Amino acid sequence: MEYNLIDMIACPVCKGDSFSVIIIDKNEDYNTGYVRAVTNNKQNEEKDIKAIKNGILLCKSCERWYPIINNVYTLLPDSYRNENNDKKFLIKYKTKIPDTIINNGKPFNIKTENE
Amino acid sequence: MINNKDLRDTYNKIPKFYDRANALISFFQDTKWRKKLVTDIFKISRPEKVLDVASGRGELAYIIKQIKETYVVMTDYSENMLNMSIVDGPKVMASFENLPFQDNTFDSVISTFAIHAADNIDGVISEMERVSSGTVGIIALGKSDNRLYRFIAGLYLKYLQPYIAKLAGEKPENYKVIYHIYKKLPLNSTIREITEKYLDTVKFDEKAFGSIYTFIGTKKKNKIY
Ligand SMILES: [Zn+2]
Repeated sequence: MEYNLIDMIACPVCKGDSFSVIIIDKNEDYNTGYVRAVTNNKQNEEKDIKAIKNGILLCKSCERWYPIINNVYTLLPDSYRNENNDKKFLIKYKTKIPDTIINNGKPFNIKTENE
Repeated sequence: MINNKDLRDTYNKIPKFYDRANALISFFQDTKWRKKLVTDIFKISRPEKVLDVASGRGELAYIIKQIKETYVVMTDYSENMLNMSIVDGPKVMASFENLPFQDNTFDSVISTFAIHAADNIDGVISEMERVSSGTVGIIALGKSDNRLYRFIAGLYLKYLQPYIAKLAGEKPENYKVIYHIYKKLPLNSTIREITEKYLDTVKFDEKAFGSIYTFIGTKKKNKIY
């Protein structure tokens, strides 16, 4: 049986279960063991994604963003997040991340660094 | 003052420490006890989707997959542990007090050698119950209600364990953290009360002078909380 992780997760802060998925890059060597995303998730328009290597999950209820780094979904509550690492992630992939997250992302963004 | 965050940081910095510490606190029975827990859970249910809470490098997931090919989601607070995991599969970095999953998602939710490091054990068990639709299984460091057992386990964890670690060429300070965690733990009777609040008990066993307990429970038929 195959399952999609994206259909199981909930935001650790607001428990919302609807996410937008932003893909930064995909796995070249995708196999069924890796994190899979979105083949039948109704909230998402991307139908052909087999596996996200790096990306962002954006909670549609509270608008917090959560990074997917090297196939690992990171879904930590604010107090457990590492602000420096999160900001570094945004800086590293700035061109591939929507401006709304870069400038107004919750809980961290790089608006000032960006100016 | 050593706190639970220190233990988490120690785990994160030295993933190898986690394995050794589990071996030491379980008198080298950790793998055997994990296998027994999984076999017992498979006897009462046939889980297809399992959540491994505070998975470390996936030792439990590995055992589950050996018994039966199962969809196991690994979740841990430590990025290093997840990146060094010994099994392929979906990985989520999360805090076990705020499991980022929808209600009733997994057929079985299991945690081995981890929840003693939580600041709020009640909160972890309540979260495990929430995301499970069937069974919950736990192996963790416990503390006997029997004073003599407590004394023996305390001596072992405070003096003998760091000493064995030192003989093995490791830093005893890291292992002393475990004694501090043990000191702060509630008694096993309190853990039992917590599990009974959220789940129907199938099994609650104490081992190694009560310093380890194994719990298996199922979702309550009639929720009263
Ligand atoms: Zn949210």
